[in-house]
Amino acid sequence: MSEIRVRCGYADVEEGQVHYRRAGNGRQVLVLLHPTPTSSRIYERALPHLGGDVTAIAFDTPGYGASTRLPGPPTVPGFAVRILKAIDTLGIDRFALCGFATGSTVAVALANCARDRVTHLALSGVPYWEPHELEPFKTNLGPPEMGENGEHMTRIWQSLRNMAPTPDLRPQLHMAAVEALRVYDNCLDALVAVGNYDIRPELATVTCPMMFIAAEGDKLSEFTARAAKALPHIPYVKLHGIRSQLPWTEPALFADHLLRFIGARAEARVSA
Amino acid sequence: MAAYLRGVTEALDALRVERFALYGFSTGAALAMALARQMPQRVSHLILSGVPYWAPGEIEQFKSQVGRRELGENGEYFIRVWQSMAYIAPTPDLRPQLHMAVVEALRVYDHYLDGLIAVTDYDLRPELAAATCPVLLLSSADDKLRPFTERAAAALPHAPYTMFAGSHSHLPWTAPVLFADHVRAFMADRYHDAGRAPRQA
Repeated sequence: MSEIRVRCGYADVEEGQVHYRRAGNGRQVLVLLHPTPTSSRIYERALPHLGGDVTAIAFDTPGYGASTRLPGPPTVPGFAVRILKAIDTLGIDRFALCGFATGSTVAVALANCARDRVTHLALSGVPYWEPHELEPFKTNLGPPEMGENGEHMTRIWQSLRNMAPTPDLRPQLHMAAVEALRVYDNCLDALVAVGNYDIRPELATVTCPMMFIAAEGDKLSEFTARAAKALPHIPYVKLHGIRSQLPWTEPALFADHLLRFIGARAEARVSA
Repeated sequence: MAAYLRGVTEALDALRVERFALYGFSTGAALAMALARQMPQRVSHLILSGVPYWAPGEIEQFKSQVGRRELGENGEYFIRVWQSMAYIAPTPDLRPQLHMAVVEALRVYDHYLDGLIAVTDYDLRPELAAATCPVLLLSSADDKLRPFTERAAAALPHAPYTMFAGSHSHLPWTAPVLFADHVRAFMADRYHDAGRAPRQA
């Protein structure tokens, strides 16, 4: 596994660049989209496990990681269009798609605006929310001011600490806090975009094969379960005893499920 | 230091950059001085700020900044890194710069002071003395490395030295237009040397 290298790059698009991490050279392409407020770094550990079988590309959502912000207020369809332009720049025609949390909303929008190109859609941490549950996200309160002693930094850390219920997960929390601080001014923008995007009707119109996958410890797993209940024909994998941020905490297991779903791997290599 | 030099050289080769002017700031100045010595035929101009012009061991106190790297329970190490760099933001309007510097440090937290350690253990004075290309020294007024830059200026009497009066540390960030103007003029061989006295911009 160690011989699969993760390489970074930028796809030029109109009005900016989209940054990505990429592994492998397989014929089949798998695109990965990340939660807020992290970046493609959440997939850093999973990419080497994916790259042995496919070309796996994790993009930074516009305004996050090292990708240029969208002009104007960000929207989920706006993110999807920008990512699709980056995919075009890289010369990719058909691709499988995986989205996690905010990334799942962008993935659904992308699947619906490029129906003839998206072969599979795997979703985790799906914000399958009722309108009243979306409401609190609609207003962007913005991040707190930068304090004299850097207190705003520890506030971000503390706001994300549910990611590290045990000390061994602190590197994951560190990564997420630093990625949020990199884009501090707009780190909450994508949540506003999610708050203004009702995923429920959009999910119902996706035409390609879909899968839901949820780690038991993910705080969004109950909403993924709700989506699975609403769409009972779609396979739903619940990973018991697995902690939040599946691609980071269980990269091999995550990769194994994804690769089998998209038909790039026939037999299970990792057991849950 | 050798590994850093090899890394930069390989990157320049990969980009097929044959001849170039070179600017370095602090650790970057150390690398730039060593690179100019290593490839005199490729470096056309050498521009330096925050010049680490010191004897090995002279600045051991910098090494004391190398603190613990544990990820604490409450993220208090974020505050520690912030405070260790707070000197670059003497006024509130410079906090975005401090924020940027702290975040960049935190991105590579497990080794963020490695570059500094490499520089403190390396005597760069002979590297600068051996430079064959034109050299320009720039300093902000409150750069904590300014005394060392001035020491380098004294050792290189033919190199123009400009101190930007009233400017804050990290010139490329705090005074980007002024910084770029000076660099461009020097690269175009249009830089007007005010002589040995520090020129004030």
